Amino acid sequence: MNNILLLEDLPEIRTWLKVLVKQVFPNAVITEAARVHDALEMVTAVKFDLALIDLGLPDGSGVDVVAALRDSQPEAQSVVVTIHDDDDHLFPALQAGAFGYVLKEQARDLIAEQLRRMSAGEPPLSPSIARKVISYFAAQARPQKDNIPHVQLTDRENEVLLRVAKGFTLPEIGVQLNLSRHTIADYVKQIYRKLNVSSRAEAALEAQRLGLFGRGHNRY
Amino acid sequence: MRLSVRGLTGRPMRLVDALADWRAETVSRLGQANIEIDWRSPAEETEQVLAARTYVQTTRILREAVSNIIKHSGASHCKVRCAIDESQFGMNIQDNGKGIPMELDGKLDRGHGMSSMKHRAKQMQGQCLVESGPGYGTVIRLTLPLGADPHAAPAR
Repeated sequence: MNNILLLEDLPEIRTWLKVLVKQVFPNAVITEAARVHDALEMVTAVKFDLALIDLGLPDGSGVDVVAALRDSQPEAQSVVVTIHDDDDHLFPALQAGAFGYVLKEQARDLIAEQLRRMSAGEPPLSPSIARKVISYFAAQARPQKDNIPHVQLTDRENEVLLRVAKGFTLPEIGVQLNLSRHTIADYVKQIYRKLNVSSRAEAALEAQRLGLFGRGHNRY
Repeated sequence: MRLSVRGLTGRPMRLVDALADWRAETVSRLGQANIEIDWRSPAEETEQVLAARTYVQTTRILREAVSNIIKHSGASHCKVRCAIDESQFGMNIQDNGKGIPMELDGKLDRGHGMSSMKHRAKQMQGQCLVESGPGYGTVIRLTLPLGADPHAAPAR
């Protein structure tokens, strides 16, 4: 991890995160931003390896920065850092292409460990997010009026999700399914990728629908 | 590090989902600290729910207990047992560490440990008992009433 973007508006939390990041990645160059606008500018100028992104910012949502990074620097890892353990805030960021998330509420040792894992290519997946992903893909699988091909999870990806939802950790699932750490991490990456792809297709379709029918049909 | 949003505005949580969250966090923290963990909770599905506040408070109690085990106990093993019946939820957290010297009970936690765990349990009309002694580790017995919260409605 060489270049790290840190987007957080509250100075004391930004400092707290910076200390934590320095501890996990002692050699990293940390670029700080407090606003969406500044972060978007930095994304066009600097190549990042990792971005820690707060969601609720004074001039908008960090989700926009996640999406911008996903488009312009797909190899950069976006990690959402949020107080919102309520998944309604987190899920859209994952749909926009975030590779992982950290809850500020979590114990410090756990956050440090998660950052370490993510940098090693092992994205986190909590039981509550797994449950959300399961119901998202279940809804996608239902017959719909439009005929666009839907992204589907493989049986193995589903299996991993179900076990995470029950509270098993990724290393434990690796043992249960006799799969290596890397293979399990690859499944999780695939799941996030498919979530992003599917959400984009859905968003494009929704935009089209709004174009065709005008206002008043927006149910979301 | 800040007050969780779920506790203020959140929906009730299915007990099975809460148990899954607690298990995942506890197993991964203890695993990382090289402390062996044996977690057992009822296998059968239950439709019972926890009020959002109860979920958050219980999360904090468990988290604190795990922090104490990691930081202070010197334990190599931890056992968690959960039990559910129609009216109660119980969780026992036991370690094989050196125990908490009673005279340190106050000093050790600096307002974040045992006394706040007990206080949180009391706020939920529950109970948090701590048994500890040199040589036999620490057992934390948490008992909470289920369905006591008048605002608790079934999820979804």
